[in-house]
Amino acid sequence: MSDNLSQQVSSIIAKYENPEESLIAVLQDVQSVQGYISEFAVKIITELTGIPSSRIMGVASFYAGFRLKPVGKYRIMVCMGTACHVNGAERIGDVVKRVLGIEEGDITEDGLFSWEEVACLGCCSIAPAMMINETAYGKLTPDKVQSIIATIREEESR
Amino acid sequence: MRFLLGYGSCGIASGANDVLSSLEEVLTGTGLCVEKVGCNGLCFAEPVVELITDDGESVIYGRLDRASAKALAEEALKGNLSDKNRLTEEELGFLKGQTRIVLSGCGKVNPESIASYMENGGYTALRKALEMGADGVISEIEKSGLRGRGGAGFPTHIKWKSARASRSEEKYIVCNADEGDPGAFMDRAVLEGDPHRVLEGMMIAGIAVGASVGIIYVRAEYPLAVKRLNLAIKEMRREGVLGENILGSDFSFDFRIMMGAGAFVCGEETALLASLGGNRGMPVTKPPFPAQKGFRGKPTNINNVETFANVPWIIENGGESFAGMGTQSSKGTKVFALAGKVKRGGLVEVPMGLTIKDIVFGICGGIKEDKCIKAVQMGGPSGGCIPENMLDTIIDYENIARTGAIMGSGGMIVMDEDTCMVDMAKFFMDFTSKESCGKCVPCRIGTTRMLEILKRICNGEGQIGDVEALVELGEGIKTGALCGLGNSAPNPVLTTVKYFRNEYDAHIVDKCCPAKKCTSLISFTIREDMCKGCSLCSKKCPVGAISGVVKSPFVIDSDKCIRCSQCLDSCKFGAIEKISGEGM
Amino acid sequence: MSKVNIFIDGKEFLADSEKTLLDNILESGKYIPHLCHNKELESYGGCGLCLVMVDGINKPLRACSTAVREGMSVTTSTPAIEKSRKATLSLIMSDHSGDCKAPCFMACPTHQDVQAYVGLIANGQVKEAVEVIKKDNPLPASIGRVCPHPCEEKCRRKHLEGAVSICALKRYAADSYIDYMPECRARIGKRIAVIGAGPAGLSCAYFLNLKGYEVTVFEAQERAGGMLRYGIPAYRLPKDVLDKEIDAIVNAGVNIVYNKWLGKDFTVESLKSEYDAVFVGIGAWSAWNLGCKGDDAQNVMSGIDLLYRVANGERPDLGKNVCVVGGGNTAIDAVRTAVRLGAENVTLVYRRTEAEMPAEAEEIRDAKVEGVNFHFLAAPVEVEVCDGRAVALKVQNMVLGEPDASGRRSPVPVEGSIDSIPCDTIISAIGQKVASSHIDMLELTRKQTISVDETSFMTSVEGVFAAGDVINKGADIAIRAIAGGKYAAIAIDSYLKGEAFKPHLPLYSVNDSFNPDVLQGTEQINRCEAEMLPAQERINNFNQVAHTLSHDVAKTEASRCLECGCSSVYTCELLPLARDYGAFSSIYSGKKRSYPKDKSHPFIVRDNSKCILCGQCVRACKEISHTENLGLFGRGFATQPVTAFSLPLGESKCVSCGACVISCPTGALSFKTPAVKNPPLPIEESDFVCSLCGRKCAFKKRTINGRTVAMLPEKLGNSCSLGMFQPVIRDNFNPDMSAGEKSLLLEHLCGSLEMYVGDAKPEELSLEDIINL
Repeated sequence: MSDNLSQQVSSIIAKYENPEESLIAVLQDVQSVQGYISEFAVKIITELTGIPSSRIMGVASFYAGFRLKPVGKYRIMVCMGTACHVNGAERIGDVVKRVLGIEEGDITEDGLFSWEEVACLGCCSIAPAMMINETAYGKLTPDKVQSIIATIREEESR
Repeated sequence: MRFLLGYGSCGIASGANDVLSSLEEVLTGTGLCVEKVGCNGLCFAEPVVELITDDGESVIYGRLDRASAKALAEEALKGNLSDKNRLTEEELGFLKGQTRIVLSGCGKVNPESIASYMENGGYTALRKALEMGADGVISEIEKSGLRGRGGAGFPTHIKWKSARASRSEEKYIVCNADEGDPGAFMDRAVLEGDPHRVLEGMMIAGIAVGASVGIIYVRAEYPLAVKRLNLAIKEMRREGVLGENILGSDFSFDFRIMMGAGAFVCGEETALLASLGGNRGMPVTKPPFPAQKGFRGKPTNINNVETFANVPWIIENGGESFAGMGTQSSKGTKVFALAGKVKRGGLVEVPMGLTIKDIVFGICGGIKEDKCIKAVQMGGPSGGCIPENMLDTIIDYENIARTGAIMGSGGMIVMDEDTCMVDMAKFFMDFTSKESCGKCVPCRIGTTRMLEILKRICNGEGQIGDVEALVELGEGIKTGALCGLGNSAPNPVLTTVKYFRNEYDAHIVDKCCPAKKCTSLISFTIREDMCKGCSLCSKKCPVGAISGVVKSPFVIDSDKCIRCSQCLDSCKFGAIEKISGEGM
Repeated sequence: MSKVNIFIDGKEFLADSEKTLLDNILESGKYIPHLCHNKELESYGGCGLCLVMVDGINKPLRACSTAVREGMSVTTSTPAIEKSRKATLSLIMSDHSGDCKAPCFMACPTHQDVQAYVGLIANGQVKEAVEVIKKDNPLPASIGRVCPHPCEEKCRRKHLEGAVSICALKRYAADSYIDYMPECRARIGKRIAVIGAGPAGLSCAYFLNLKGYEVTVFEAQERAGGMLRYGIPAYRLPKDVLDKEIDAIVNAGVNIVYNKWLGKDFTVESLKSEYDAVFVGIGAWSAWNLGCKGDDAQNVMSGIDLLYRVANGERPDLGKNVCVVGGGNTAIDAVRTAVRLGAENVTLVYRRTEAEMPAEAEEIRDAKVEGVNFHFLAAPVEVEVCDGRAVALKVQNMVLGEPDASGRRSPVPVEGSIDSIPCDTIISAIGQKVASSHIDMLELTRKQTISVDETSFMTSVEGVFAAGDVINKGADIAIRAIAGGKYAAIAIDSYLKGEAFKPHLPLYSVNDSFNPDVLQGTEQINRCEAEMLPAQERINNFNQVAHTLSHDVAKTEASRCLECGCSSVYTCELLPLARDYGAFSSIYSGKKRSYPKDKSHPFIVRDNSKCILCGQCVRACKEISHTENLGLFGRGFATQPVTAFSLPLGESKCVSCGACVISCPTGALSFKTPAVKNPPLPIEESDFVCSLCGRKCAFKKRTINGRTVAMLPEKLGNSCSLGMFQPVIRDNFNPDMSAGEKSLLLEHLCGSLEMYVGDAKPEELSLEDIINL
């Protein structure tokens, strides 16, 4: 597993002419492989590029797009944009929290779901909206959210 | 016959893929195909298909699903233009009221085809610009009066001149596509719907300032835009409009895409530059300006997506025609992203000089459910709320600024009587405090303290003096903050205090939320006279706060109630009431 | 280097165009506030304090990141800028979770620097500890025996095994150097009259004497000490201890005249005409009667009366059964005295329960051990008298009712439930009052105490001051009388110099939202208490019950101090600015960031709760040491400077160059020495050239009482860790260090060896070799 990750990180770094300047892209690639950015991955980047780990962690912790802990197989992103807020995004977040039984940023025990509030997804016209992995869901109501999650659960239990 | 399917993120989220597969099914073997185009701005009617007959007649269908798409295609093949799902004349007024420069290709050209862009006149401006040379281009831009569309409205030609004046072998053009206003989506629509227009604009800027590399800093949350930009760049190279000695000139140019990683502050030039260099996106003081010392320490010109998207049109049609539109100080058009409680939300491009009312009521049809409009929020977290009685304000940079809001990137959130202005102020302050980079004290701690006060007010724990504290903090942050984010962060609070002070006082003094939005200040009750005892609400209640015997009135246990409003939404008899303040 | 002419507040200055506007302004001799700027580091612009107005620009600019140009005209202060600076400083203070001074210091009425003297005791520097103590307390050996120690109430060690035995440690130190007196200033020819030689009067006299005043104390009794002598039994405070402390004060120049009564031998008015100022500290020597039928019987007396007689050598026979009414310290002193006078059944009657008793828990415990009975929830209703003598006390039984305004639950009578306690003597100890009829001129309160201003202690008559039990709320603990004497002395000094009265404490940052969780991981050391005489050996004599701590026990106990107060309090750059601008943290109060202290590094303590995110440490680590061991983590309000993966500094790749600590404007990063404790004491700074190698690095040497505590290189990073820390380790060497601690020190001492160019090869040396270089 860790050897594998080393290799993957090393091939990511090889893609960039100047990994120091492209640190954000490197981290994005690492995150797409791992689902998040682990300490181990950061250490590998330091080893291979000489970029101090403190700087890498500083960058990774600065941007909302980076995650420093694992996410669920289904990563639910509840949009907190203005249009969604006006249309009741808070309620959507509350329902997700209640249905999953976890706090924002946490992951369910079975590792299936994690949820977070995110800045505008740009789907303002179908507010309130959320994304699960790559799929956007719009015009949400509490019922709709419950059934979306229930459907995924059902599929997964099969 | 052509089928143009709106295939932007919003269309896809609304079910464009279902429509696509359904149409393709019908069209198989007919020799016709579905053309995937960008969002034409009719977001309220997504998924949208524009059908263009062989005679050139255009019919727009909206709110499609699998079945209705199938039906309309089958009818069309038979030569019938069905009326079902067809947008009404009134709805089409949405498009007719607009003047489209930036959005002219959105919904028309296939964003995944350079040929389609070229058929629509693409890259002729580039050719022209190469002939005009740097000075010619800059003078045309100067004549046009184009100002930065990212928000601040700084004259574009001054920026370009300054970058041109900086001596360096190496210069950069950066496109700020890190659209961060949580209520604006025009940049996404343009990048997804007409990426070449932006790229062409950047290249023309490259000619003007003497840069040979263009970097697009785009939000990672816009994967479709990134994909289409990459594809566009590949096609450009293939077509010879990119690379060395473009179109036989001595001008060489290349593009690079960098994905942002989620930081609103990176909309600020110096923070964006830090981010481009692989660092934390923390702003630095100016001067030096990016035009002198930018990416890699070299002169860099940074403009926003919409600014660049205007450039090809200006070069092609001349600066004077652009300057012929708009007001004394603000020329050309501006794209607005309408959302919130408006009937027809979507993208609207109009000449400067219209009023806010023209857009909200004239083009977008007014308020959903014909409720009362309360305010229009412009400029997002850096902007402000313009109250109903000021909706005659003429749209240009100066007039909008006079209200306390800003033009901003063009987000327009419409608010009705159900919107609590204190809650809105809290929402934006929550946003900016989370997005504060943490470098300067006024922004880092000041926005946190303002948010704490606003939370307290919304929770019914407001104290006399809180509003004054908010204003004092707000003014302090505006003076003391290091960058634009902090300088403008208090605006949503200051404008709501200015125009909606009564709502603050209601929260603080009467412990009442007039819009019945702040959950700590509201409660739900069931009207005995109207409840039929159907028990639906009690089934919907997620916390078991509603009890009763079927066929007799139910009651809500206020202590258990979490104020999620699901009972109110589910009641078919209008028996559930939300109350705030007295009588709670 | 090119020079340009600029105008700073209208004054022309030849500026260096390669330097920032801020550096030029500072070089011109003008100070403007700044906290994130360091001329050796890249400009940052974070703190937002150095705003200036530049002519022709309508908004303020940050001077730290503004370049100078020919003819530039700068205004460094406008009302708007000052307002902005105050707001910014208030915001900084609102998120600065630090204690400038420890909670014990803040809690002590006379604000003794507990952390300093406890730390010095832990380091074995007992003489220095006494010097610190006597700066604020003239009678520490006495107070160290009798004080109910409000300081210990606030001691954060309470969240662990128990508060540090601060009071016992003070007694230990004071006993060790009981004759010590600080040096007095030369006489300034002004005379002050002090009425009353109790703790307030003696304290006022002591401090005025130190300041060079000629003080005469008028005492009514034959001996000085006031209630310390006549109200506190000898088994708690042996009189020879008190005598020695008073002798020291007298020997230092204070003149005490005895048997002189206010209202008889002199008046306030008469003294006022003869002296430059008058201080009244006559205490509250009248007892309240029981206030019930029969309370005038001949064998009913007051607690203070009994204690006074015993203190004067009388041994009254109280009979077999003694009943004491009251719940305060005087009641406890009375019951324990009654036991010692041979009473067989001593009962304390109190109308509430033990939990509500104002007396100290330790005192109650001692009384119980000595066999005193406690009769709670009973209020006297009648003294049963037979032939003029009390024979029993009738009490009404009570229950606790609702809490009253003070939050204490008030006792409510149980209808018809009355007991009768037989007794040979009844002692009333329910409070004292001022014998106000002797007082002339001065305005009194409704309670018949002298009304004074809380800050200046000045009475209604200018030039007449008062403190102790005689003022405002009346009788209180001895240390508050001492504090009153001290602050009145300071006020008298100000008054006579025509200066404004000063608040007792200047502005300090207080961590009022302390989270005990941050103490997790502290090594457990149980609280050491003084040894006590066994109960059987106490009850028939007045010998001292509690022993003074032994040297070893005191050292161990002192080592339990958590050092809550900031070690950078004398070098902090934020504190003086906050004081200048009146930037109280309460102006914009809200959530504060709070993190545990990191003490893992042998030379550096990190306390991120105090970090103001000026970014200097991070920049220094990058630009000076080139290691980027520290970096910013997170964003917005939650940002903090940390090592990679938030490792403790001692486990990180720190090269111990010290640049981060030197640049830190607050106590978020501070140097520590190998000594057991690093007591915060005033620092002296001097120039020093290191001679360990040929490079002759220049330093500013910081010393406390001659011991080097830090070496600051003239230029950041321009020295090796050996040069920086060797003198510190040498001067603060702690022979008790473990081998592990020694090797960690050695390792970090050689952290930047490449800079060390001497003959010796440090890797072959032991720590002892290095400190003897």
